[in-house]
Amino acid sequence: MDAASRLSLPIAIERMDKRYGAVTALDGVSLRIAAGDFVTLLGPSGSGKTTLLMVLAGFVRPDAGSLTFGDRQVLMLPPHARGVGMVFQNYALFPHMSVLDNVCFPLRVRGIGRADAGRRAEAALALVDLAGYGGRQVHQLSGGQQQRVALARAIVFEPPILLMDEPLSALDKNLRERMQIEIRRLHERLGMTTVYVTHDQREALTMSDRIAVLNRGRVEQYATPTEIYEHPASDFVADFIGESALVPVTAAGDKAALGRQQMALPRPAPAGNSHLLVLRPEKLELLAPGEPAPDGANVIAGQVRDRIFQGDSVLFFVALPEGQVFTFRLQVRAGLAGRLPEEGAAVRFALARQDTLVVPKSA
Amino acid sequence: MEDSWIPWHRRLPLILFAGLVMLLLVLPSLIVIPMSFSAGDYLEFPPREWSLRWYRAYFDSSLWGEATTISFIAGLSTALLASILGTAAAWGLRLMGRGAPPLLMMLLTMPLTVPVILTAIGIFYLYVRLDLVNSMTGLVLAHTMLALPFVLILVLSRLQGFDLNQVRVAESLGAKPAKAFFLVVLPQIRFAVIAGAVLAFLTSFDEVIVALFITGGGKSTITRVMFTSLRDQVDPTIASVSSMLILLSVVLVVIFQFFEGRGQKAAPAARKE
Amino acid sequence: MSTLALPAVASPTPADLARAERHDRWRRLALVAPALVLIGVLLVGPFAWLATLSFLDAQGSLTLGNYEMIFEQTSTLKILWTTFRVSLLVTFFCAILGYPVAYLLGLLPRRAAAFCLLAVLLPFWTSILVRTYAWMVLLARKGLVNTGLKDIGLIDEPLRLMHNESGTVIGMTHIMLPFLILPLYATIRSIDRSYLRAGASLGARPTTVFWRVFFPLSLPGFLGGLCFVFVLCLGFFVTPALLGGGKVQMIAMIIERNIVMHASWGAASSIGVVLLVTTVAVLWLGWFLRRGRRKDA
Repeated sequence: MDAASRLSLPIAIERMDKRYGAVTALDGVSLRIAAGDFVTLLGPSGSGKTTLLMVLAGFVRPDAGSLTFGDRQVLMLPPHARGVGMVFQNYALFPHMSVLDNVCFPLRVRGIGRADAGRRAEAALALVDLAGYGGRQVHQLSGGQQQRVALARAIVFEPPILLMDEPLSALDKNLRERMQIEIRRLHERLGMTTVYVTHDQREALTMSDRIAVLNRGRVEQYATPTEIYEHPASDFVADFIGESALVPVTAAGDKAALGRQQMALPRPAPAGNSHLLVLRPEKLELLAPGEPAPDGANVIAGQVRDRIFQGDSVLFFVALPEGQVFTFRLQVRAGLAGRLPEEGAAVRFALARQDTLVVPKSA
Repeated sequence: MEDSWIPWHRRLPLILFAGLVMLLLVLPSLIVIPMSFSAGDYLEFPPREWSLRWYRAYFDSSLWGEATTISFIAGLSTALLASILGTAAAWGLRLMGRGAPPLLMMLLTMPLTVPVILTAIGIFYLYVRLDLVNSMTGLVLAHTMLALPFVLILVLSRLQGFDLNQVRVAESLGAKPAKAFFLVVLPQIRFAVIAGAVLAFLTSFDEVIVALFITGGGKSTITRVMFTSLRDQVDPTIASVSSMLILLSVVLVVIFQFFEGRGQKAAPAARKE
Repeated sequence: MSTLALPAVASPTPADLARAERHDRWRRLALVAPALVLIGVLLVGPFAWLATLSFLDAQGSLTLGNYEMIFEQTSTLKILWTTFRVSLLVTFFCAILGYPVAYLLGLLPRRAAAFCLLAVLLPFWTSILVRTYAWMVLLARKGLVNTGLKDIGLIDEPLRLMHNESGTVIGMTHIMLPFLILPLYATIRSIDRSYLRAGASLGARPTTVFWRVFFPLSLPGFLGGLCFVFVLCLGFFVTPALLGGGKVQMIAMIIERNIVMHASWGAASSIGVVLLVTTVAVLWLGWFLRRGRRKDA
């Protein structure tokens, strides 16, 4: 079982529509996923990400559209004929079978003999660090171990495509972060095309080759994690990814105005009538009183409304003259204590021109 | 007492009263058992002399023998047929989920709500025309219909806690829907199905009214023979038959409780996963 | 599976997808179909047929004659009244005997309750004929009850306990009790005990807590169970036929007699329709009471 011997398939989704009564779950979704890519469907609940995954698996039939795995149209195929591995949020292990029988299941229903299936299941269990757990009963395992069994069961028959529906959301934070890395490593080793659904933006940024951000049944942006983070295509993406504050600005060409404060943009503002400036705490640099801004940086002035001590950092709520509030986080370092701005103090921030992000305001 | 907002000695009247009612529920039927061992021509309690006379009378009688055979065949066939049809229907309803038309559930539980006398005359009316009166097929079909709701309700309530993702996962891993059902669902609901089958058997075995209309002569069920005997001329053999029926009920209750309990114990564990 | 055979390259049209969706829906319905057909053919069909018959006269033309007969003949009216009275009495006795049992079972720890529940389940599972027979033995002129009462000197002459209404009511109450206790027990078990402790801790007297808090919470299950018992009584045949000894006539018995002795299907069906309509109305009332209660809870 390694990437070289494995067949992975590209996925093409074209103009996919799905309505439930008056609710539009998918609204003309098109997405091309390259063979072997790890793609995350990211969005809030109700965005259509799970519906899209269920369409890929064959549990939900869209009203219109096309879906191909490789050069095969699969939309009319029932789930069992699609040959995809599937991992559910609640693991969905079969409680009446041992761990080994769970992992053998996909092989046994394909008519593979008990001995051969058992050998391959053991190998799959070893891949998820559960070698020797085959004889256990499902309920004897911890949540993390159950999730690994579900993973082993989904990959044991070497499917060219692996689908995962929020597989880590039931685990605690530490375990979740460890499993993220393990799943990613497993993907690199096995190389099957993987579609992963999550509502956790950090998880998406950590694991994916590409992220498709979904909102109200539409793909807002489909790009690499860096691209999504650095150049969000819409205010929705900018708001959903990272700890951003969105502030209305008037923009034209490569100039923007935040109230009376003028700023220069790295490239011409996108088309549209109104725009929003994306302020991310980590992009802002606090200027000491009287300190000049670095060359070419934009300056944003405001007033500290509130500050919250959070242990390793201090969170400031800063109000602009126009009234909008954004947050700014300052790492606590030795020697800084006396220099922290007080509540009510006037503050200035430098924002590098490269980081001055303006997105169109959606209707 | 789980909650103690009333001191328990003040509950004594309640305990005595409820205890008396429970005794009155159990005792009357049990009285029949000692009487059945009476030796006299009339049944008496307590019997002056003990004997197996009325049991011998039962086993020597071809009327009772044939009726017992008919009842057992009908009961077992009903149990088999009702558990298959009821389980299939329950699974269908579970798959439909909230999309199941409310009318469907109403129709499927109708045999429970329509007075049996009406069911009986309807079936009689139909069977006269189909020439199914006095046939085992007709009896089993009628009893299966009456027993269906019991299986349906038992299996469906077990299935409500069943995670459909298990079936989805089984199908995506390569199992056809039927295979997914038999490999993944059925093993987990088997206790509810067995409990339903037991209940279906008893429904058929104890059924009087439909049998009264559609069976007769040498094809009578045991309950029909009992009913006519009780109405016309009480034959003391009935005491021995009744005692054996009570024994059968006790055995079946124990089996039912065992399987139903197992099913319920399995349910929360399955939900956790 | 027909969906497998479709060509693999072309993208399916919305019509294809809609057809496949319908196909799936039919497949789910196919699982329910055998049960539905059985009930349709054996229950709904014949009764609908009979109901139609009840509106036709001997010549096959539309008439309300059968129904006029029910309400004009004093004998039929008397039977309807008897049925109603007996059912009401049985329901009443079930209420006062059954509630305390269900209440006590609800207070007991689960294990003890499960054991005591056997006292309810065992008769529930015992054949109605056997239980009716037992009461015939007990209530007979020289039966256990009469001899017992005579032995302790309470009576000189045996009481007439059987082949009359009292015998019928006693036997039916015994048979119907589990039908009330079992659902009521389930309701009582599901009542959140913290309400009661809250009531008690606020200084309310135990009886006040019971009547103001506990009883209203148990009322939906109680009323639902009573409606069910009442409906079962209305159509009950075996016990009144045997313990009534022909002296207590109830609806189910005239329906049987009309068919077995007179073969008058029209008369039997019209009474059947009246019985069914009453049954549905009472069941609907029970359902409505339960639902309405749950809403304002």
